[in-house]
Amino acid sequence: MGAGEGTIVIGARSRGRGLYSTSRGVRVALWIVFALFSFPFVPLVVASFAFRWHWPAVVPTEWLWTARDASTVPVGWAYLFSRVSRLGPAFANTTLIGVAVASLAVALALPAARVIARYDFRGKSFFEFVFLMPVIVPQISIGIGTLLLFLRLGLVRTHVGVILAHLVPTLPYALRIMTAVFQNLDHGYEEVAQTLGAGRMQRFVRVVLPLVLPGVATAGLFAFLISSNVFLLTFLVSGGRIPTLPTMLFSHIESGAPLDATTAGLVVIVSLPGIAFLLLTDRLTGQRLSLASLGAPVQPAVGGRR
Amino acid sequence: MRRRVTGRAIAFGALVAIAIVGCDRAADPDAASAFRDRFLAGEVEWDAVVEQARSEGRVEFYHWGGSEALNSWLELIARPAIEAIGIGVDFRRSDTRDVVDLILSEIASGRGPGSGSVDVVWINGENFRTLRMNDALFGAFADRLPSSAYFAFDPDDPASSINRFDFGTPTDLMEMPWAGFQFTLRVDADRVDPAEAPATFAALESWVRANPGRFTYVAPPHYIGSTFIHALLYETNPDSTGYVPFLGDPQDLGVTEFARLIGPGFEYLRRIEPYLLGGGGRSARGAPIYPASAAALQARFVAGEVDFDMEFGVYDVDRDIRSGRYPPTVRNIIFPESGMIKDMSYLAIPRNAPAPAAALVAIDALSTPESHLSKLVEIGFAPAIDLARLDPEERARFLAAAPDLRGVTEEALAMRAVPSVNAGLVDAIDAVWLEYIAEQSARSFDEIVLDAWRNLGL
Amino acid sequence: MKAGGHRVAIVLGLAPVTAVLSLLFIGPLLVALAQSLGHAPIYGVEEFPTLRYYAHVLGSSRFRIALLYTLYYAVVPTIVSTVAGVALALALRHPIRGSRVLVAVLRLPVVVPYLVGASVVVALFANGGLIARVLFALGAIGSTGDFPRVLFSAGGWGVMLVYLFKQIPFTFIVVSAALAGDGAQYEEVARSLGATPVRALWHVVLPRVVPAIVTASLLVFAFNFQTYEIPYLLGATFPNTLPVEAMRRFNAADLSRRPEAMAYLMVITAISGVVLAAYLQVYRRWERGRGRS
Repeated sequence: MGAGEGTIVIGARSRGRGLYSTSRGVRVALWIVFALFSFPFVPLVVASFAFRWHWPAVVPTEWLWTARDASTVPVGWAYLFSRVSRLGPAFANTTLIGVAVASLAVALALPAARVIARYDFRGKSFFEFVFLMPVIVPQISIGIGTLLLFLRLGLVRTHVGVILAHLVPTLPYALRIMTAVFQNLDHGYEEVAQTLGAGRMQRFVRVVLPLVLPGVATAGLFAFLISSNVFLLTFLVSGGRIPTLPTMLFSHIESGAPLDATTAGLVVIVSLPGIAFLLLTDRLTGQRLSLASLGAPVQPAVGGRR
Repeated sequence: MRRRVTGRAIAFGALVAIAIVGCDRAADPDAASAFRDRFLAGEVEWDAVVEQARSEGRVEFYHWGGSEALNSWLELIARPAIEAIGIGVDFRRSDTRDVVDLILSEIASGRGPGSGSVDVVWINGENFRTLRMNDALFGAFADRLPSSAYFAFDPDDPASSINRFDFGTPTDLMEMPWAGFQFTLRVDADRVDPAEAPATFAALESWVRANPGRFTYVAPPHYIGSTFIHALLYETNPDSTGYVPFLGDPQDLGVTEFARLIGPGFEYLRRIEPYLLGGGGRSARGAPIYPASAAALQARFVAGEVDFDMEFGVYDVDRDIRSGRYPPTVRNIIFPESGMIKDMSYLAIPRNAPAPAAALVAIDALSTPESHLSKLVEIGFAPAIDLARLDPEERARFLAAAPDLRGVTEEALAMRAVPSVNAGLVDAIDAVWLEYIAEQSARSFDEIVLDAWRNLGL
Repeated sequence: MKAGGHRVAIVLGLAPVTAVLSLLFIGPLLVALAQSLGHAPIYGVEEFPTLRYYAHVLGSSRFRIALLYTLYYAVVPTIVSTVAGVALALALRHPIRGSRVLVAVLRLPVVVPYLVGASVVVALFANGGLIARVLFALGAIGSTGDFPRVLFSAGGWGVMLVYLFKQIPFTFIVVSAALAGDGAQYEEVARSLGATPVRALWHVVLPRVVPAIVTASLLVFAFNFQTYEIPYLLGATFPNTLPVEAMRRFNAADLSRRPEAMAYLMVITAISGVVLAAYLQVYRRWERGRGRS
């Protein structure tokens, strides 16, 4: 399902004066939209290479590479990649937590999604509703509540605590994506395998798993993406002791000047997990807009024909 | 060091207090106490201290993390210097008040000598006072370090007073002087001519009225905001006795006298509100913006939103120009009449330090002339050592290494240096500001002061 | 497939995720609820059950102001991003030259943290930011003070711009996916049967994607209503949103004020729930009404 991937044939046929020629006004408007959403990143990328860019200069007055040596402290990218910035640990934490969260979310969601997709049972819609709640209930309430609960359990300021906290916003996505995968699964293969004498476990490992693997990977990538973007839960549960990319960016925004080189460089780095996500999901699923699954968790509540 | 990152939304101190989950560091409290007693009594040779430090292995060094310059220096210069002795070091960036809360809550939960989690803390002011009043410090160690030969501690030496009194609290050798800071204001000569910039708070008020929206100060309880207000209180002191009445112990001052002394200063702060950044000018509409940290004020200064910046550290301007944070045209300015507050920051060891010998060795390594010279050259932190105790050649190196003062002279700064208010008054003044200015309370000023005074148990 | 003999499989399948969510989702909410009702012995508060904190919160003018601003910061971007996102999806439902590039550009904001949006907005819209500098260079403004205060003001334009930066593309993507799904050919059918482009759009294309529009706007509103870091970073000191007020109370030096923070959280949760449920109700009624006609 792409932006018109399904309609691409029609579009191709009708380019020009065909059935769906897009008017000149709309085209201009679309280019404005393009400018609005692509331009904002430009000044930040430029700023990350600036040494001096103060009011009222419209472009940097001095660049990093010409002035770097004058400073006794590392600046700009040199700062970010020095041990002073502690970007390394933040990057490692983000990755580690993201991978753990993704694995756990998938492992937990897989059996549930299979059941939801395959069986009708009493209370099914109730469960579906409960599973979407974490997306709807204010994260600040969950976050502060989690902090208080984890204080008692000794999980505050630990990686385990942060990983567990991240399960709440990620599980609904993993569940919905994998439910959809199982719904689209052709049970015929499994039945064939059964008639050929394959056992329960064998059927699952040899037949079902390979079929759902791309879907599982997509769910895992979503969980990783959400985990790597979460700020508040990390901030609360880590007690400021486990820096991640978003918490690091938060403190830089809090005290940085607009167009500050370090903050700008950090923005580029914080965007990397998202960019990696886009590249990987494109490869993996071939669905340019699998991102639309971000809307998935509330779909059952809204209903509608899919 | 009194510095705090109040801009950070989370005051984790309280949380830390509840959250401590036993950090299992095998420690023998009796051995730790015995080492302390013997060391403080001068019965341990320094070589033996170094030996024990190596066996302790690591020092947990807590410091306010809001100065990227200091973070750089610690990581890139102090770390190798300490590691060269054969001990490891972890630099923990934290709000100093949180560290104090951590130490106190550990002690309260029975984690005494040898079993805490903090070895060294950069500290001063009311944070030191709190540790001292709670008997949470290692003891009078400062003059037992080999490097102490370069520091003035003798009460007969006039140079020693800044080392012996920390915001009015006697240090009694329980913390090692580390870096001196003097408060200055800064302007960009491209926007405000330093020669015509205000030189008194009275002149500042006229300037602010003539240039609405071009000035603001950092919100207390950030130390920069607090210091700005202290300097103002010195000038608006109704008795014209400057800082003198603010130095004594709160108990001797009394709340009525306190309210009388600070009243005019707080009236001033209310008067200038409409003319601050974001204030509504004469229409008195709009809410003034008080940046939450020194860094946030600096951000607005370099973005052209306000014409004044303020910080502790006379060499900061030069450093920040060289590192690209400031435009090259920024200059220091001082208010000669009320004086510019100058204080000292220290390194202290908590009573329950898990590696006390390593803490002593690390502090000693950071107290050598070479270390102070490097700190001066690299990041513009004024040395705490007494230059008079150096040989002439070494002294000359310090003088030659001092960065450009960018618009002021050493003499002017020295002549105008005034001490900080008593540490016991800092929180009271902050609390009054929060209610009277930030919250625009409708209660009478005297009521607010009385409440602040009582809440702090003064 | 009917449950029948699969009861064990169903229970086993649902048990892990249900257990984890109970612990990590319902547990925290119960702890917060208990504190809001006065059960917080660790802060020396033990007066369970009391509604005192709720009464205090709901009765304060600060709460009412914060509620108004929260709704304002949540609703305006929801409407704008829904309208703009749907319009974009409709405009791009047939590929035009460069639409691939445009779609690629629109996907980036969706996958980066909101904090990246905040940096972008600060860089451009701060009073000393890039736009102000360009205007200054052009002589349109004389100083930073002449530039409209987008950030740190009660108007909240900075906060809302961050939301739009993320949410217009988000809505676009969710709605586009629905447009491209089954039934994309109906529009062509309608057109070939003689419907005008506008009629085909209104009667054939749009109704098909209403669930997607509701889904997107619901998620957007739910997010905007409860987010903390953006209004904290880019909003005014006062007035600001309910989450910012709640966090301020939670962080107050006086720990005995924490039950008040918890009451704030419970009220935020309740209001958000009521608004979302009402929205769904309205939508379902509309859906049924359509079914009859």
